[in-house]
Amino acid sequence: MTDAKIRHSEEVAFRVIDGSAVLVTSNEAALYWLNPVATRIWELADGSRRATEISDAICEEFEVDGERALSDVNDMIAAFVEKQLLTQNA
Amino acid sequence: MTTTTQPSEATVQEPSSHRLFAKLVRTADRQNIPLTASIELTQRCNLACVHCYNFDRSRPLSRDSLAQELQPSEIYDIIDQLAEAGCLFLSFTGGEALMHPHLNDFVVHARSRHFVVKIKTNGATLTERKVGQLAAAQVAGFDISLYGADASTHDAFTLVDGSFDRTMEGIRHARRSGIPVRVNMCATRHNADQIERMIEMAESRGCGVGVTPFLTARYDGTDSSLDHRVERKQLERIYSGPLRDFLPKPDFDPKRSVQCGCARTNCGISATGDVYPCIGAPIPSGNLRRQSFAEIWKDSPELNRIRRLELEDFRSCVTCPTRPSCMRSSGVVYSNTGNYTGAESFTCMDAEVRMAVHRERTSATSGDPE
Repeated sequence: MTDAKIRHSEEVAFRVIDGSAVLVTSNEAALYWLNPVATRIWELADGSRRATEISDAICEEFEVDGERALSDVNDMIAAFVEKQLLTQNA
Repeated sequence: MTTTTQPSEATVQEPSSHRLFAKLVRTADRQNIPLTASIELTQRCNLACVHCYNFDRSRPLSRDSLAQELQPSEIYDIIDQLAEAGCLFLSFTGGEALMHPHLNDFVVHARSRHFVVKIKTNGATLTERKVGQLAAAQVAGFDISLYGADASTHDAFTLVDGSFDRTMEGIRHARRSGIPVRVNMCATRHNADQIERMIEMAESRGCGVGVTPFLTARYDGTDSSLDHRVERKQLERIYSGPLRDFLPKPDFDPKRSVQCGCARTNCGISATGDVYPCIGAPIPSGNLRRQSFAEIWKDSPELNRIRRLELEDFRSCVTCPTRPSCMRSSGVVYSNTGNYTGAESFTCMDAEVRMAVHRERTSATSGDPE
Protein backbone atom coordinates (compact mmCIF):
# COMPACT_ATOMS: atom_id res chain seq x y z
CA MET A 1 0.00 0.00 0.00
CA THR A 2 2.82 2.43 0.83
CA ASP A 3 4.13 2.49 -2.78
CA ALA A 4 0.84 3.45 -4.37
CA LYS A 5 -0.43 6.95 -4.82
CA ILE A 6 -3.87 7.39 -3.33
CA ARG A 7 -6.66 9.25 -5.05
CA HIS A 8 -10.38 9.75 -4.82
CA SER A 9 -12.52 7.29 -6.68
CA GLU A 10 -14.09 8.79 -9.77
CA GLU A 11 -17.47 7.59 -8.57
CA VAL A 12 -17.61 9.56 -5.36
CA ALA A 13 -19.02 13.07 -4.97
CA PHE A 14 -17.84 15.19 -2.09
CA ARG A 15 -17.65 18.60 -0.53
CA VAL A 16 -15.95 19.96 2.57
CA ILE A 17 -18.67 21.58 4.64
CA ASP A 18 -18.02 23.26 7.97
CA GLY A 19 -14.56 21.68 8.06
CA SER A 20 -15.79 18.14 7.48
CA ALA A 21 -15.75 16.22 4.24
CA VAL A 22 -19.10 14.83 3.18
CA LEU A 23 -18.84 11.96 0.70
CA VAL A 24 -21.73 10.61 -1.36
CA THR A 25 -21.48 7.50 -3.49
CA SER A 26 -22.53 7.98 -7.09
CA ASN A 27 -25.84 6.19 -6.66
CA GLU A 28 -26.46 8.07 -3.39
CA ALA A 29 -26.67 4.73 -1.59
CA ALA A 30 -24.35 5.90 1.17
CA LEU A 31 -23.34 9.14 2.80
CA TYR A 32 -20.15 9.51 4.81
CA TRP A 33 -19.30 12.31 7.17
CA LEU A 34 -15.62 12.55 8.07
CA ASN A 35 -14.07 13.96 11.19
CA PRO A 36 -11.33 16.63 10.89
CA VAL A 37 -8.36 14.26 10.65
CA ALA A 38 -10.11 11.98 8.20
CA THR A 39 -11.13 15.06 6.23
CA ARG A 40 -7.49 16.11 6.02
CA ILE A 41 -6.45 12.63 4.92
CA TRP A 42 -9.19 12.79 2.29
CA GLU A 43 -7.93 16.16 1.03
CA LEU A 44 -4.37 14.87 0.85
CA ALA A 45 -5.44 11.77 -1.10
CA ASP A 46 -5.59 13.74 -4.34
CA GLY A 47 -3.51 11.35 -6.43
CA SER A 48 -0.19 13.07 -5.78
CA ARG A 49 0.79 11.31 -2.54
CA ARG A 50 1.50 7.88 -1.17
CA ALA A 51 0.15 6.69 2.20
CA THR A 52 3.50 7.41 3.83
CA GLU A 53 3.45 10.98 2.50
CA ILE A 54 -0.09 11.49 3.72
CA SER A 55 0.92 10.10 7.09
CA ASP A 56 3.92 12.45 7.28
CA ALA A 57 1.65 15.42 6.62
CA ILE A 58 -0.82 14.27 9.29
CA CYS A 59 2.05 13.84 11.78
CA GLU A 60 3.21 17.37 11.14
CA GLU A 61 -0.17 19.07 11.09
CA PHE A 62 -1.71 17.25 14.06
CA GLU A 63 1.48 16.62 16.07
CA VAL A 64 0.91 12.90 16.48
CA ASP A 65 3.17 9.87 16.73
CA GLY A 66 4.43 8.71 13.29
CA GLU A 67 3.82 5.02 13.74
CA ARG A 68 0.31 5.55 15.01
CA ALA A 69 -0.47 8.02 12.25
CA LEU A 70 0.73 5.65 9.52
CA SER A 71 -1.30 2.83 10.99
CA ASP A 72 -4.45 4.95 11.10
CA VAL A 73 -3.87 6.33 7.62
CA ASN A 74 -3.38 2.82 6.27
CA ASP A 75 -6.51 1.62 8.06
CA MET A 76 -8.59 4.44 6.61
CA ILE A 77 -7.20 3.95 3.12
CA ALA A 78 -7.87 0.19 3.27
CA ALA A 79 -11.42 0.76 4.47
CA PHE A 80 -12.09 3.42 1.86
CA VAL A 81 -10.56 1.38 -0.96
CA GLU A 82 -12.85 -1.49 0.02
CA LYS A 83 -15.82 0.88 -0.12
CA GLN A 84 -14.57 2.16 -3.50
CA LEU A 85 -14.18 5.69 -2.18
CA LEU A 86 -10.42 5.74 -2.76
CA THR A 87 -8.24 4.03 -5.35
CA GLN A 88 -4.52 3.31 -5.46
CA ASN A 89 -2.31 4.07 -8.43
CA ALA A 90 0.84 2.02 -8.82
CA MET B 1 -3.90 11.72 18.05
CA THR B 2 -6.89 12.09 20.34
CA THR B 3 -9.78 9.73 20.29
CA THR B 4 -12.01 12.35 18.71
CA THR B 5 -9.81 12.55 15.65
CA GLN B 6 -9.19 8.87 14.96
CA PRO B 7 -9.59 8.19 11.26
CA SER B 8 -11.15 4.87 12.23
CA GLU B 9 -14.02 6.82 13.72
CA ALA B 10 -14.42 8.80 10.59
CA THR B 11 -17.09 7.03 8.69
CA VAL B 12 -20.73 6.47 9.26
CA GLN B 13 -22.63 4.60 6.63
CA GLU B 14 -26.05 3.21 5.93
CA PRO B 15 -28.45 2.58 7.62
CA SER B 16 -27.86 5.92 9.31
CA SER B 17 -27.54 7.90 6.07
CA HIS B 18 -30.99 9.44 6.50
CA ARG B 19 -29.91 10.79 9.87
CA LEU B 20 -26.63 12.01 8.40
CA PHE B 21 -28.42 13.68 5.52
CA ALA B 22 -30.69 15.50 7.96
CA LYS B 23 -27.57 16.62 9.84
CA LEU B 24 -26.03 17.79 6.58
CA VAL B 25 -29.10 19.86 5.75
CA ARG B 26 -29.16 21.36 9.26
CA THR B 27 -25.49 22.29 8.94
CA ALA B 28 -26.05 23.83 5.53
CA ASP B 29 -29.09 25.68 6.87
CA ARG B 30 -27.13 27.11 9.80
CA GLN B 31 -24.35 28.30 7.53
CA ASN B 32 -26.44 29.34 4.53
CA ILE B 33 -24.75 26.87 2.22
CA PRO B 34 -26.64 26.22 -1.04
CA LEU B 35 -26.41 22.47 -0.70
CA THR B 36 -28.76 21.84 -3.62
CA ALA B 37 -29.13 23.81 -6.83
CA SER B 38 -31.00 23.50 -10.09
CA ILE B 39 -29.80 25.05 -13.32
CA GLU B 40 -32.29 25.58 -16.12
CA LEU B 41 -30.08 24.90 -19.11
CA THR B 42 -32.63 26.06 -21.65
CA GLN B 43 -36.32 26.81 -22.03
CA ARG B 44 -36.41 24.83 -25.25
CA CYS B 45 -38.50 21.67 -25.06
CA ASN B 46 -39.59 18.89 -27.37
CA LEU B 47 -42.99 18.73 -25.65
CA ALA B 48 -45.61 21.40 -25.00
CA CYS B 49 -47.07 20.33 -21.64
CA VAL B 50 -50.14 22.31 -20.71
CA HIS B 51 -48.97 22.85 -17.11
CA CYS B 52 -45.44 24.04 -18.00
CA TYR B 53 -44.31 26.79 -15.61
CA ASN B 54 -41.80 28.35 -18.04
CA PHE B 55 -44.21 29.88 -20.51
CA ASP B 56 -47.41 29.13 -22.40
CA ARG B 57 -46.16 26.54 -24.87
CA SER B 58 -49.10 26.98 -27.21
CA ARG B 59 -46.88 29.80 -28.46
CA PRO B 60 -43.31 29.30 -29.64
CA LEU B 61 -40.32 30.31 -27.55
CA SER B 62 -39.34 33.76 -28.72
CA ARG B 63 -36.03 34.29 -30.51
CA ASP B 64 -35.20 37.00 -27.99
CA SER B 65 -35.63 34.60 -25.07
CA LEU B 66 -33.51 32.00 -26.81
CA ALA B 67 -30.79 34.52 -27.64
CA GLN B 68 -30.56 35.54 -23.98
CA GLU B 69 -29.98 32.01 -22.69
CA LEU B 70 -26.72 31.25 -20.91
CA GLN B 71 -23.80 30.25 -23.13
CA PRO B 72 -21.90 27.03 -22.38
CA SER B 73 -18.89 28.98 -21.06
CA GLU B 74 -21.19 30.77 -18.63
CA ILE B 75 -22.71 27.51 -17.45
CA TYR B 76 -19.26 25.99 -16.80
CA ASP B 77 -18.41 29.07 -14.77
CA ILE B 78 -21.66 28.87 -12.78
CA ILE B 79 -20.96 25.21 -11.99
CA ASP B 80 -17.53 26.25 -10.67
CA GLN B 81 -19.04 29.03 -8.59
CA LEU B 82 -21.64 26.68 -7.10
CA ALA B 83 -18.89 24.22 -6.14
CA GLU B 84 -17.00 27.05 -4.48
CA ALA B 85 -20.16 27.98 -2.54
CA GLY B 86 -20.43 24.43 -1.13
CA CYS B 87 -23.20 23.11 -3.36
CA LEU B 88 -23.09 19.31 -3.57
CA PHE B 89 -26.34 18.23 -5.25
CA LEU B 90 -26.85 19.69 -8.71
CA SER B 91 -29.83 19.18 -11.02
CA PHE B 92 -29.90 20.12 -14.68
CA THR B 93 -33.39 21.00 -15.81
CA GLY B 94 -35.22 23.00 -18.44
CA GLY B 95 -37.25 23.38 -20.56
CA GLU B 96 -35.92 20.00 -21.50
CA ALA B 97 -32.34 19.52 -20.34
CA LEU B 98 -31.73 16.82 -22.95
CA MET B 99 -32.35 19.41 -25.68
CA HIS B 100 -29.11 21.17 -24.77
CA PRO B 101 -26.33 20.02 -27.10
CA HIS B 102 -23.71 20.42 -24.35
CA LEU B 103 -25.56 18.56 -21.59
CA ASN B 104 -23.07 15.71 -21.52
CA ASP B 105 -20.17 18.15 -21.24
CA PHE B 106 -21.89 19.93 -18.35
CA VAL B 107 -22.32 16.62 -16.51
CA VAL B 108 -18.65 15.76 -17.07
CA HIS B 109 -17.62 19.19 -15.84
CA ALA B 110 -19.88 19.02 -12.78
CA ARG B 111 -18.54 15.58 -11.90
CA SER B 112 -14.99 16.91 -12.17
CA ARG B 113 -16.09 19.42 -9.52
CA HIS B 114 -17.34 16.50 -7.41
CA PHE B 115 -21.11 17.15 -7.61
CA VAL B 116 -23.88 14.60 -7.35
CA VAL B 117 -25.54 15.31 -10.72
CA LYS B 118 -29.13 14.55 -11.64
CA ILE B 119 -31.15 15.37 -14.73
CA LYS B 120 -34.80 16.37 -14.71
CA THR B 121 -36.28 15.34 -18.02
CA ASN B 122 -39.39 14.20 -19.82
CA GLY B 123 -37.32 11.21 -20.95
CA ALA B 124 -38.74 11.26 -24.48
CA THR B 125 -35.33 11.68 -26.11
CA LEU B 126 -33.50 9.42 -23.69
CA THR B 127 -32.16 7.00 -26.26
CA GLU B 128 -29.94 4.06 -25.43
CA ARG B 129 -26.98 6.00 -26.85
CA LYS B 130 -27.72 9.11 -24.78
CA VAL B 131 -28.17 7.04 -21.62
CA GLY B 132 -24.83 5.38 -22.33
CA GLN B 133 -23.12 8.75 -22.71
CA LEU B 134 -24.67 10.11 -19.52
CA ALA B 135 -23.85 6.91 -17.63
CA ALA B 136 -20.23 7.27 -18.73
CA ALA B 137 -20.34 10.88 -17.55
CA GLN B 138 -21.50 9.51 -14.17
CA VAL B 139 -24.92 11.05 -13.88
CA ALA B 140 -26.39 9.96 -10.53
CA GLY B 141 -30.01 9.74 -11.57
CA PHE B 142 -32.89 10.83 -13.73
CA ASP B 143 -36.12 12.47 -12.57
CA ILE B 144 -38.54 11.62 -15.37
CA SER B 145 -42.00 13.14 -15.69
CA LEU B 146 -45.03 10.98 -16.46
CA TYR B 147 -48.50 12.43 -16.99
CA GLY B 148 -50.69 9.41 -17.55
CA ALA B 149 -50.88 5.64 -17.46
CA ASP B 150 -51.63 5.45 -21.15
CA ALA B 151 -50.65 7.20 -24.34
CA SER B 152 -53.92 9.04 -24.83
CA THR B 153 -53.80 10.70 -21.39
CA HIS B 154 -50.07 11.45 -21.38
CA ASP B 155 -49.95 12.69 -24.98
CA ALA B 156 -53.04 14.89 -24.52
CA PHE B 157 -51.15 16.59 -21.67
CA THR B 158 -47.81 16.97 -23.48
CA LEU B 159 -49.58 17.87 -26.76
CA VAL B 160 -47.15 15.61 -28.63
CA ASP B 161 -48.31 12.32 -30.11
CA GLY B 162 -46.02 9.42 -29.32
CA SER B 163 -44.44 11.10 -26.29
CA PHE B 164 -45.80 8.47 -23.86
CA ASP B 165 -44.18 5.63 -25.76
CA ARG B 166 -40.90 7.51 -26.02
CA THR B 167 -40.88 8.41 -22.32
CA MET B 168 -41.54 4.81 -21.32
CA GLU B 169 -38.75 3.78 -23.68
CA GLY B 170 -36.46 6.35 -22.04
CA ILE B 171 -37.28 4.94 -18.61
CA ARG B 172 -36.47 1.46 -19.90
CA HIS B 173 -33.10 2.54 -21.29
CA ALA B 174 -32.21 4.34 -18.06
CA ARG B 175 -33.11 1.40 -15.86
CA ARG B 176 -31.29 -1.05 -18.12
CA SER B 177 -28.14 1.01 -17.63
CA GLY B 178 -28.56 0.80 -13.87
CA ILE B 179 -29.01 4.54 -13.39
CA PRO B 180 -31.58 5.28 -10.68
CA VAL B 181 -34.83 6.78 -11.97
CA ARG B 182 -37.51 8.58 -10.06
CA VAL B 183 -40.77 8.93 -11.95
CA ASN B 184 -42.36 12.26 -11.07
CA MET B 185 -46.10 12.52 -11.49
CA CYS B 186 -48.29 15.58 -11.37
CA ALA B 187 -51.73 14.47 -10.27
CA THR B 188 -54.11 16.41 -12.50
CA ARG B 189 -57.82 16.34 -13.25
CA HIS B 190 -56.96 14.31 -16.34
CA ASN B 191 -54.99 11.49 -14.72
CA ALA B 192 -56.37 11.42 -11.16
CA ASP B 193 -57.93 8.01 -11.68
CA GLN B 194 -54.71 6.62 -13.15
CA ILE B 195 -52.31 7.45 -10.32
CA GLU B 196 -52.41 3.95 -8.89
CA ARG B 197 -51.56 2.43 -12.26
CA MET B 198 -48.85 5.02 -12.84
CA ILE B 199 -47.25 4.16 -9.50
CA GLU B 200 -47.41 0.45 -10.36
CA MET B 201 -45.84 1.13 -13.76
CA ALA B 202 -42.96 3.00 -12.14
CA GLU B 203 -42.38 0.59 -9.29
CA SER B 204 -42.57 -2.48 -11.51
CA ARG B 205 -39.70 -0.97 -13.51
CA GLY B 206 -37.58 -0.45 -10.42
CA CYS B 207 -38.13 3.30 -10.27
CA GLY B 208 -38.76 5.57 -7.33
CA VAL B 209 -41.97 7.59 -7.33
CA GLY B 210 -42.86 11.20 -6.61
CA VAL B 211 -46.43 12.49 -6.80
CA THR B 212 -47.55 16.09 -6.42
CA PRO B 213 -50.90 17.76 -7.00
CA PHE B 214 -49.37 21.25 -7.01
CA LEU B 215 -49.24 23.19 -10.26
CA THR B 216 -48.08 26.76 -10.66
CA ALA B 217 -48.69 29.81 -12.78
CA ARG B 218 -46.02 30.56 -15.35
CA TYR B 219 -42.92 32.77 -15.48
CA ASP B 220 -44.63 34.66 -18.34
CA GLY B 221 -47.55 35.67 -16.11
CA THR B 222 -50.12 33.36 -17.71
CA ASP B 223 -51.95 30.92 -15.46
CA SER B 224 -53.97 28.58 -17.66
CA SER B 225 -51.65 25.88 -16.27
CA LEU B 226 -53.78 26.01 -13.11
CA ASP B 227 -56.89 24.91 -15.04
CA HIS B 228 -55.52 21.38 -14.96
CA ARG B 229 -55.31 21.05 -11.19
CA VAL B 230 -56.98 18.06 -9.61
CA GLU B 231 -60.43 18.59 -8.10
CA ARG B 232 -61.21 18.09 -4.42
CA LYS B 233 -63.14 14.85 -4.89
CA GLN B 234 -60.31 13.47 -6.97
CA LEU B 235 -57.78 14.49 -4.34
CA GLU B 236 -59.83 12.74 -1.65
CA ARG B 237 -59.82 9.55 -3.71
CA ILE B 238 -56.06 9.78 -4.34
CA TYR B 239 -55.17 10.38 -0.69
CA SER B 240 -57.53 7.67 0.52
CA GLY B 241 -56.36 5.28 -2.17
CA PRO B 242 -53.07 5.07 -4.01
CA LEU B 243 -51.23 7.59 -1.85
CA ARG B 244 -52.53 6.39 1.50
CA ASP B 245 -49.20 4.80 2.39
CA PHE B 246 -47.19 7.80 1.22
CA LEU B 247 -48.94 10.49 3.27
CA PRO B 248 -46.80 11.79 6.10
CA LYS B 249 -48.46 11.83 9.50
CA PRO B 250 -49.64 15.26 10.63
CA ASP B 251 -47.10 17.13 12.72
CA PHE B 252 -48.85 18.88 15.60
CA ASP B 253 -45.74 20.68 16.85
CA PRO B 254 -46.84 24.37 17.09
CA LYS B 255 -43.27 25.44 16.31
CA ARG B 256 -43.18 23.41 13.13
CA SER B 257 -41.79 25.60 10.37
CA VAL B 258 -43.90 26.40 7.35
CA GLN B 259 -40.78 27.21 5.39
CA CYS B 260 -38.64 25.10 3.12
CA GLY B 261 -35.02 25.27 2.00
CA CYS B 262 -35.61 28.28 -0.28
CA ALA B 263 -32.62 30.68 -0.11
CA ARG B 264 -31.20 28.70 2.80
CA THR B 265 -30.00 25.37 1.47
CA ASN B 266 -31.44 25.60 -2.00
CA CYS B 267 -31.33 27.86 -5.01
CA GLY B 268 -32.35 27.93 -8.65
CA ILE B 269 -30.71 29.47 -11.69
CA SER B 270 -32.79 30.39 -14.70
CA ALA B 271 -31.80 29.87 -18.33
CA THR B 272 -30.86 33.54 -18.50
CA GLY B 273 -28.76 33.57 -15.32
CA ASP B 274 -31.29 34.86 -12.80
CA VAL B 275 -30.74 33.46 -9.32
CA TYR B 276 -33.91 32.34 -7.55
CA PRO B 277 -34.45 31.19 -3.95
CA CYS B 278 -35.53 27.90 -5.54
CA ILE B 279 -36.25 26.90 -9.12
CA GLY B 280 -39.90 26.70 -8.02
CA ALA B 281 -39.87 30.18 -6.48
CA PRO B 282 -39.01 32.46 -9.41
CA ILE B 283 -38.15 35.60 -7.44
CA PRO B 284 -35.32 37.32 -9.35
CA SER B 285 -32.62 37.87 -6.74
CA GLY B 286 -29.71 38.87 -8.93
CA ASN B 287 -28.24 37.92 -12.29
CA LEU B 288 -25.03 36.00 -12.81
CA ARG B 289 -24.09 38.15 -15.79
CA ARG B 290 -23.82 41.15 -13.51
CA GLN B 291 -22.70 39.67 -10.18
CA SER B 292 -20.93 36.58 -8.92
CA PHE B 293 -22.97 33.82 -7.33
CA ALA B 294 -21.23 34.44 -3.99
CA GLU B 295 -22.22 38.12 -4.04
CA ILE B 296 -25.83 37.37 -4.90
CA TRP B 297 -26.11 34.53 -2.39
CA LYS B 298 -24.69 36.67 0.41
CA ASP B 299 -26.06 40.13 -0.37
CA SER B 300 -29.29 39.78 -2.34
CA PRO B 301 -32.04 41.69 -0.51
CA GLU B 302 -34.61 39.20 -1.80
CA LEU B 303 -32.74 36.17 -0.48
CA ASN B 304 -31.94 37.85 2.82
CA ARG B 305 -35.56 38.88 3.25
CA ILE B 306 -36.59 35.22 2.96
CA ARG B 307 -33.88 34.16 5.41
CA ARG B 308 -35.14 36.63 7.99
CA LEU B 309 -38.72 35.37 7.89
CA GLU B 310 -40.06 33.99 11.14
CA LEU B 311 -42.98 31.66 11.68
CA GLU B 312 -45.15 34.63 12.73
CA ASP B 313 -44.59 36.28 9.34
CA PHE B 314 -46.75 33.56 7.76
CA ARG B 315 -49.78 35.05 9.47
CA SER B 316 -52.51 33.17 7.68
CA CYS B 317 -50.76 29.86 8.27
CA VAL B 318 -49.67 30.15 11.91
CA THR B 319 -53.11 29.57 13.42
CA CYS B 320 -54.54 27.47 10.62
CA PRO B 321 -56.10 24.25 11.97
CA THR B 322 -54.87 22.23 9.00
CA ARG B 323 -51.24 23.32 9.41
CA PRO B 324 -50.20 19.93 10.86
CA SER B 325 -51.00 18.36 7.47
CA CYS B 326 -50.03 21.28 5.27
CA MET B 327 -47.39 20.70 2.58
CA ARG B 328 -47.09 24.40 1.88
CA SER B 329 -44.46 25.33 -0.70
CA SER B 330 -43.61 29.00 -0.59
CA GLY B 331 -42.62 28.77 -4.25
CA VAL B 332 -46.06 27.49 -5.24
CA VAL B 333 -47.76 30.11 -3.08
CA TYR B 334 -45.59 32.88 -4.52
CA SER B 335 -46.08 31.71 -8.11
CA ASN B 336 -49.84 31.52 -7.74
CA THR B 337 -50.53 34.55 -5.55
CA GLY B 338 -47.46 36.81 -5.71
CA ASN B 339 -47.27 36.67 -1.91
CA TYR B 340 -44.43 34.48 -0.59
CA THR B 341 -45.76 34.43 2.98
CA GLY B 342 -49.45 34.23 2.14
CA ALA B 343 -51.90 31.38 1.77
CA GLU B 344 -53.02 29.77 -1.46
CA SER B 345 -56.47 28.24 -1.83
CA PHE B 346 -55.36 24.99 -3.47
CA THR B 347 -52.65 24.38 -0.87
CA CYS B 348 -55.23 24.99 1.89
CA MET B 349 -57.66 22.61 0.24
CA ASP B 350 -54.91 20.00 -0.07
CA ALA B 351 -54.13 20.31 3.65
CA GLU B 352 -57.82 20.00 4.55
CA VAL B 353 -58.12 16.82 2.55
CA ARG B 354 -54.93 15.36 4.03
CA MET B 355 -56.17 16.17 7.54
CA ALA B 356 -59.58 14.66 6.87
CA VAL B 357 -58.08 11.48 5.43
CA HIS B 358 -55.77 11.16 8.42
CA ARG B 359 -58.72 11.61 10.82
CA GLU B 360 -60.77 9.00 9.01
CA ARG B 361 -57.94 6.51 9.02
CA THR B 362 -57.09 7.13 12.66
CA SER B 363 -60.66 6.89 13.86
CA ALA B 364 -61.18 3.73 11.83
CA THR B 365 -58.25 2.05 13.53
CA SER B 366 -58.44 3.44 17.07
CA GLY B 367 -61.68 5.28 17.49
CA ASP B 368 -59.65 8.38 18.36
CA PRO B 369 -59.45 11.06 15.68
CA GLU B 370 -55.99 12.23 16.79
